[in-house]
Amino acid sequence: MSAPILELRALSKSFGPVHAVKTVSLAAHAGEVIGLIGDNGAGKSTLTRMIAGAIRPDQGDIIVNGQKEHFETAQDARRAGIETVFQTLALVPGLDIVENIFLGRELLVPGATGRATRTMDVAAMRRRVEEGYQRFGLNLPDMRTKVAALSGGQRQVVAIARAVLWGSGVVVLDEPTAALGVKQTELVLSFIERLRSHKVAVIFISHNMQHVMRVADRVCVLRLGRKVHDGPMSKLSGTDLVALMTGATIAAQ
Amino acid sequence: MTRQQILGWTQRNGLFFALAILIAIFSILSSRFLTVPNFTVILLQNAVIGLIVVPGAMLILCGLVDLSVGSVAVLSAVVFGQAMASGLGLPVSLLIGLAVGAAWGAFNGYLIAIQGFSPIIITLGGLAGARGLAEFVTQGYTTYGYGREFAFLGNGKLLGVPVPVILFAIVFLIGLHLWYRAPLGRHMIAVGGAKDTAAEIGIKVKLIPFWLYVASGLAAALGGLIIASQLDGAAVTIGTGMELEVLTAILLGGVSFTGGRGSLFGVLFGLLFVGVLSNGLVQVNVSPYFEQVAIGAALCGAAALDMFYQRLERLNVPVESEPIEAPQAGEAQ
Amino acid sequence: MVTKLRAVNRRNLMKLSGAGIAGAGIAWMGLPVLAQEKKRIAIAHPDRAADYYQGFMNAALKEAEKRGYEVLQSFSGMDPQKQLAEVNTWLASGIDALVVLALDANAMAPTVAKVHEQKALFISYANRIDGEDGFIKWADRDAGALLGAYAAKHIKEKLGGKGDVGFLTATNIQVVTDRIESTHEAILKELPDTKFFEATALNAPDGLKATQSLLQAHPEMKVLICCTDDGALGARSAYQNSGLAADNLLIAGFDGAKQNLNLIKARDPYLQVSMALDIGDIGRRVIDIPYQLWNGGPESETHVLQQYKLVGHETPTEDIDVILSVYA
Repeated sequence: MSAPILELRALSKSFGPVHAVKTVSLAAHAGEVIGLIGDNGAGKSTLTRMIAGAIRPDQGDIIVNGQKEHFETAQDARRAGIETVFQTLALVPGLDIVENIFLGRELLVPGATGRATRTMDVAAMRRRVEEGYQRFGLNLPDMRTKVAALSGGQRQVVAIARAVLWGSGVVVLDEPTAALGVKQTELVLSFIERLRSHKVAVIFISHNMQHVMRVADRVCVLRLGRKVHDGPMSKLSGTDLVALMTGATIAAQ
Repeated sequence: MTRQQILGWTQRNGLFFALAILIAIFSILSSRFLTVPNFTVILLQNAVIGLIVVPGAMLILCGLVDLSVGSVAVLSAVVFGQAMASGLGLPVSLLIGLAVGAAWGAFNGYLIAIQGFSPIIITLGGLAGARGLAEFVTQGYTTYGYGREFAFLGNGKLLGVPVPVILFAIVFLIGLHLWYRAPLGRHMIAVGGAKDTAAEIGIKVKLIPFWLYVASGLAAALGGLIIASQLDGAAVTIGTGMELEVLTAILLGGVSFTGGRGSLFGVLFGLLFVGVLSNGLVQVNVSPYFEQVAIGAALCGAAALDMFYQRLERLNVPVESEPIEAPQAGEAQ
Repeated sequence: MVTKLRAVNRRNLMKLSGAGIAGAGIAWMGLPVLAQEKKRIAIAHPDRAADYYQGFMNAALKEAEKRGYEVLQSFSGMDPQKQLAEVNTWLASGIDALVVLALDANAMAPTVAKVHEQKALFISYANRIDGEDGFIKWADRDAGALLGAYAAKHIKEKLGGKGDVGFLTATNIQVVTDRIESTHEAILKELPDTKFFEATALNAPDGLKATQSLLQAHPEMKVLICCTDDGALGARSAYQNSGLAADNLLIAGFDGAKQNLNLIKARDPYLQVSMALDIGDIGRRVIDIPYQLWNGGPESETHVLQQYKLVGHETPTEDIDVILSVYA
């Protein structure tokens, strides 16, 4: 197997006396969707925020492409190639899809004049998004539609597409299907499935087991801050997952 | 054309047509209205407000406001007048006048953008404070008579075009570039419409408004100096009611007062609409009582249309997105 | 040790501030006694930005010093509501005389009764208010008649009896409407066929814009009557930069402002007339009238009709200098 894009080595984080995450290790490879599940308070969001650079681990290392990283800010994580899509999505409703995808990282017209006058290369940005639409078979309205006019699922897809289009090796999705209806969820899940064939490692955080079972290749279960299971999805049933999450029985390997 | 496209088109061009109709009416009523000299005068009459409207509209796009512009204009003019009177010479006096505006803008920007004070309270303070300071500086005695060179700023012409109009055109073109062609335009919409998101993405949510306030102060100072040049005197009455004229043009132009939405072309049409209206009413000799009423009515009409369009936009969304996304039951967004 | 020291300091501090508060209280109690010796006159003059304000105030303060009165000054600006609020604040603080240029004479009328309840005096200037104790009424209508006749003469002699007349006016201030209406009537009396064109402008920047518009519609317009001297300055700039010839032009304003008088003195081809009030006399009288009333006067008038003087290019420079001396 090839080297992992993202590797977490024994990450720990405490808030006062509470051990939110205890020595969790995890490796993510390109083209792999990892389901990260756990009950409320299992440490999912703390782990996510450490990967996203929002908080710093007390102990342990984050290794991206074999390089040890110390994230001070969310921007650092992004620069290293890890995009995290939180539930807030970080989209501006008043801007269209292209504008949102390139917000804060607009492409300028090449050359000295373009840089000096801060002239955007609007055509190039549209081209890039157009390519993205085709490559991922994106099921979205015209790319110049305002985000305000998109449904919840479509917004989620735009936010994920932005992460992927920015060439990130690792995309972390924090509860992307929470608060979505059936059809909207389908839109998002089918998009995540398609990502698998594009050499992206996806970490899919959810407490909805159906959704995880549908898209994940591997599943990683957290309980009370510890990783209690890490293995291929195919060998597990829904009942096993519930058992792992709640700690009712220790599931058979 | 889909319904949404038609809607967007009328929304973008509604004011333009209102302006065209207004011009047509005045052209019928007055033979001298639709002439090159008269339109040069209309542009000249609105050039100063136009200069200030450009950064003003950007501030409103960011969800902020600068009510101190008129008072900063008079303060700059008066300080310039005092500098001239004390024999500092034209270039130095001009620089001092502009510096006063930039400094006041930086003061506004620091308190509002960096420290997070209320823009309305701080700039209302400026509205009273800067004018009070201007009155204090003059002590009731207006300075006047600055010579021919300075008169060029307000009264000069280049290739038949008045200098204030040229200055307005330059500022407006820079504004257009920043609004539509530079990343700043999108960033301002993000700051005005979704500030937390903008900050999360790494947009300079404090520095952008800060520099816009500096630009607003600088534009107000330039405006004050142009009027002082036109009158050849730093009258304490310069800039009276200017903040309202600026706001009228911006809001008539369809920039949302809550931020995050608006077009600079709309603002240009808003500016010209008010300018054409007040010029035309004088031309057809309508009672002065009527002018204020007409501008007020236009503003109310614009506000009503804006509400109407926004409501239609919202209603239209699910209908429009349905064909793209298979069968979709009305889901809560 | 350190904490103890701090405690002592704090206790001292409290003692000191306690003494301070007590001292201030005693001072406050003593203050009305002192104030009673010096009568307080409040002057509500709305237009502090006007050029003549300083001349008016200089004369008033000089007279007040002579009589030993304390003068309170206004900050209301051209807003009738604000002026009323300010007057009421003064009344609450207990003044001895109120001197008002009422922006809205009708709205000011009920205040007269309130002033009398407090056994204070109500003096109005510019216009008259019912029940006032004394007044200096500006003869706005007389001045308009004077200027109208002058303008009619100008049209007859210089423009061959035909000429359009422009007015720069404001619709909500009585002094201003009196000035313009009476001028209008006087011109019409002499030349019934004259056409009139109106635009709104009280100050120079607005006067500039309004005149620019007027000149586009009526480039042949040679007579422009402005309700204030400040507005006339804006009109002058508009004519000056319009490229139109200045011959036989008549731009006139009211007030007798410094810059206008100086331009007329220099025989400026654009600015021809200022209807000048004797600013110094008004300033002196607003203090003198209360003095006369308090001291059983009247050695001089308490009911004054203040005439305007037409200052034009015919007026000798020495006479203009006399009027200008109030600004010195």
